[in-house]
Amino acid sequence: VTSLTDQWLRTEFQDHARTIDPPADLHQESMRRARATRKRRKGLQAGLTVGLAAAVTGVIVIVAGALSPSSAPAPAGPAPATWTFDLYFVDMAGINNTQQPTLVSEPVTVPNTGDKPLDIVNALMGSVAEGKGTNGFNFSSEGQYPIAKVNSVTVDPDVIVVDLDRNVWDPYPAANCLCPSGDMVMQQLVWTLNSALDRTLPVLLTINGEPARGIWFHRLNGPVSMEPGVSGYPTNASGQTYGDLPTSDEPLSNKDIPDLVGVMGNNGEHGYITKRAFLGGRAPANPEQALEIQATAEPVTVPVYAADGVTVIDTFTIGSGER
Amino acid sequence: MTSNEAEFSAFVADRSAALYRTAYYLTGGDRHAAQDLVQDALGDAYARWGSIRDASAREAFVRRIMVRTATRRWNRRQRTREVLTAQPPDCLQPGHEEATATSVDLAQALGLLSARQRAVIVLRYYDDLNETQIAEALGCSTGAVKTHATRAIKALNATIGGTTYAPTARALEDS
Repeated sequence: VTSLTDQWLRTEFQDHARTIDPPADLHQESMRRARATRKRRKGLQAGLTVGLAAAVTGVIVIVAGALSPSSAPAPAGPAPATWTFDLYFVDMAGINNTQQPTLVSEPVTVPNTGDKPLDIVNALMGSVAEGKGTNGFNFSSEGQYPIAKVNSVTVDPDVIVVDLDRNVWDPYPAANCLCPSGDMVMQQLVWTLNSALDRTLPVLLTINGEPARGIWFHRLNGPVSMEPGVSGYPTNASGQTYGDLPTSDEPLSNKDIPDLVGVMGNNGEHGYITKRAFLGGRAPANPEQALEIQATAEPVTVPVYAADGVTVIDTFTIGSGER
Repeated sequence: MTSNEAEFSAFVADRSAALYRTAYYLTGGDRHAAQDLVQDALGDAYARWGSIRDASAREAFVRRIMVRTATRRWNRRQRTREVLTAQPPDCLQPGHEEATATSVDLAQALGLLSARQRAVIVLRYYDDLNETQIAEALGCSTGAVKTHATRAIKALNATIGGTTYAPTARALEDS
């Protein structure tokens, strides 16, 4: 078989499915587990009801208000005292033993200030790299977290807008620093919000009302959805592929990087830097070497080209890896 | 037994085997993970069974839970399985070289795809869903479904075309 056809795949699935025998106790075990799940959730609901009753007395509201970093007013109607949802991080645990980064989630419970979207993003911004996950929104040498504060989170029918008070990724660190995988950092926000709110909406990141220019070489021209951002790159007259690096919950492969990588230049021009510049031209052979490069490298300014790969329209400064 | 429970039990009796096979492919051929996946999805669905008024939508509802759960779990599993080289690898999935060096069957070949690519292939060619239905199950656009399908077919071509892959029909005839 050298070229798969629709009919071949359908036939192959039909044939192969005949070889799969479901467990004999599938029906019985499914019913048992379903009843257990429902019973557990009813117990949880009962617990929440008790909590809500306490909230009516004002006790829970006062505690939540005291614990909350936000000055948002307490909800007028009955509401849970806390939210529990998944925060998404970039797992860099494998960087020292040659594994690829992965998007992972950790459950978190935070006080309910009455603005769930804001509580969600505040929780993400306030989380520091702990355990297996690294937070691309709090990756800094400053050691002060959160780096950026959340101005607002607005959930519209078609998009979620997150406004921060500071560009977390300006100046840009070097491509070869041990920073979280840039393609996944924006997806931390997208997956966290959509998972917690049970939506599938794209997320627009803004800095004090202005669209964010990008996250570590990943130019943001608009809202970012959960799906991969690109299905192929156009080619210019010189045969070079060009385009924005996609954001994704899966690691980029070398093939996913175009010859010219989209960035927003120092003067705000949308253009492209070369793949070589993007890769830093000096990929470390091991984590120790990466740390050495990170500590000693000076910022480098490279040209930003138009899509033709020839016309210089701006410059782009690749930092030292330190903020 | 309430009417809801009776309806649910009948649904499980009727559809659990088919859902298990879908789960088997979604988990890349892991029988234990498939059983967990289908049972967890049925448990979630049962908790909201009464609110699904359209009986014909129930299977799609369970399938959607399965697909999204499988994707999340697979991505978590990859944390301990994937391998980073000094330069980014040319293939997205780890173990590709090892797997292509030996004989693989359909489930193993699917296991080399990303979670979403695999889900698209399974829903399209096993569950026979159209692109709109697949997009609904995955929570993405039809354009993304096409992208995943194209990449998945390309990867399957590379795996199946370059190995000692034996079509299942031949195995069935041999048995």
